[in-house]
Amino acid sequence: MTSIPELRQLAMEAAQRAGLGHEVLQRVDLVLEEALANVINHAYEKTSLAVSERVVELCCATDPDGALRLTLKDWGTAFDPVAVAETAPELEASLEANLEADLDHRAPGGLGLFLIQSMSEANYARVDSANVLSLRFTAQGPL
Amino acid sequence: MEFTQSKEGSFLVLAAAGRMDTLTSPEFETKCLECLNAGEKRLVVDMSGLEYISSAGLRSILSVAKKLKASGGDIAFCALSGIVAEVFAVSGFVKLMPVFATRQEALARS
Repeated sequence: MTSIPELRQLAMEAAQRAGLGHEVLQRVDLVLEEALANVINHAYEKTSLAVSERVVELCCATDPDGALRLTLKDWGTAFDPVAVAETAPELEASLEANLEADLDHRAPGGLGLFLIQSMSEANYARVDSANVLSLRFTAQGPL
Repeated sequence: MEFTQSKEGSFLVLAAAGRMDTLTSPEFETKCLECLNAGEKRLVVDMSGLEYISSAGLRSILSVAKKLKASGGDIAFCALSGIVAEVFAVSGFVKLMPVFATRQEALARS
């Protein structure tokens, strides 16, 4: 988790170079945190990899159309956040149920994935033994 | 994240400033629970100084709201702007929590 600020700095600099406005910069900030938190908390949970091999790679690039593209890669358990966000039950209903539930700490895990999906053009691929999540941000914002 | 607290009638107003993210949202939970333990059951969180919130912040809010509810209290939010307002809207939190445009409106509720 402590590596988040450094990666965030890289992404924010790339977003500024791409000329994205303040509103889109805030979305980049948010989507990156959600995606990184997801990898850090879950990707290597069920693997036997040594701590030094539990890495996440961030690549920042500008697409030909001027959009910012962040590519996040990890070598953990296969997980498609885009598909999960799309097939998750109605978020509001599950939040409501959660609030009504007794003092059960567990909030719906889909919240972060839902924000990723809502605020970026997200695409997932499993390439060799890596999860590759591509997050695109255009000046106009999400579709 | 920084907090400024003030007592307004039966409400305790917490003005939160800065970022409520994975690293800082536990501070919000701790602060609210301190208030609850001190006997304050009706909280109003003024978010005019809050620049950023992520799902970690939303989870903290959910957790605090549940604890207050279980103690017969409640929590409301006011003065959201920018990405904070967007995250509240997109996630459905605006329907789940009492959210007001201004602090005055939040304090005027029963």
